[in-house]
Amino acid sequence: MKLILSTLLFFCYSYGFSQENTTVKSGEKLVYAASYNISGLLTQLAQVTMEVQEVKTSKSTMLHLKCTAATFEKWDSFFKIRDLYEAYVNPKTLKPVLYKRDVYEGGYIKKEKYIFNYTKRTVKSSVSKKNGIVKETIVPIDYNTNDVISTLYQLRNMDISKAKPGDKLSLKVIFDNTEKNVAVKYVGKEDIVLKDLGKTTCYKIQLLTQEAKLQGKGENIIYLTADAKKLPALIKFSIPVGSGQLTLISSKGI
Amino acid sequence: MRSIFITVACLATILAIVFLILPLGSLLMIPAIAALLFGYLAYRISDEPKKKFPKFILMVTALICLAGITKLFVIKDKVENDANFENRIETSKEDAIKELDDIENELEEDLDF
Repeated sequence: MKLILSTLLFFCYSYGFSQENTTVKSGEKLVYAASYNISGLLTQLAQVTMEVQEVKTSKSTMLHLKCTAATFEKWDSFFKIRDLYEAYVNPKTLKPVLYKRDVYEGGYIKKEKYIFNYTKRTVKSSVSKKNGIVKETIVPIDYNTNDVISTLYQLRNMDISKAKPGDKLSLKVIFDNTEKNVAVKYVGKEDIVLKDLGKTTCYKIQLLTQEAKLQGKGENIIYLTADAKKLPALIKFSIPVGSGQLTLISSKGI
Repeated sequence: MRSIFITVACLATILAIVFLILPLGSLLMIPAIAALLFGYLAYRISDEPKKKFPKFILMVTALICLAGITKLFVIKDKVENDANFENRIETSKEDAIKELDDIENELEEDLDF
């Protein structure tokens, strides 16, 4: 038992998943063009913005990780998307305290709020839809369970330089009120060419999940720039309703 | 054979018009090229007095292509300034700060207990 525990601890330590935040800083703003695969052609639909801001409460300072998605003007009359995903995290550990999701997708409305309590290992969840009825539940979680937004930022904080191709790390993400198992696989280094950033060497990370709600027919890949900032330069996603990608078009405050 | 080519060219033209109305960018080129190809084949095999309709299809498709290319360069990918969305973001942040204060107070009480 001790051997298993120490191996697990070594695994987590060697990847630096629990290491102190050295990558994500306040003032960072990343802008992406979101494309969706329509009849085999990638069509640009929306702009996704990821921002990091410092937020002061009466007792502490937290990092506000904000992710917004908005369809381009020409798409608004056909299918308007105005999504807001936020996580308020501890600036040192990037562990979430509060997560909020407020989505508007072509008339579909959903609001979610998760309050993380790692002492009790629970998430107090409030979910409401178009009818306005709020459903409150307590979801038991593991110590390593995070929301989707803080997970993405925590991935950036990992010390990937020590990883070998094929290495895997298991994570737990709470989404749609349920804890989901996600495995992160380091595939290796790869050069990618982006229209606005040119040729960039990236760490290729594959996200693997058994969850039918999250996984489509293709692969979910994140390309993180192989430098100290580890910016997500390209995100390829495959969900049950299709596939697409997010391409970094501008970055500020890094 | 002529009627098959004309039918396919007509259907492809209609599809190209639909794609032109929808903001699908360069995707309209797929049916437009098909319409041009089948329209041209129909034009080639048509007798002189029957060349008018395939010629009309070719002209309409050429105009669709022109309109599509113009649209591609004129209409830029930009996000509308949405005051309602900005308000939602701002309100959410204000609410979150109050909620974070409450969470911190609750956590403190838990630790005291």
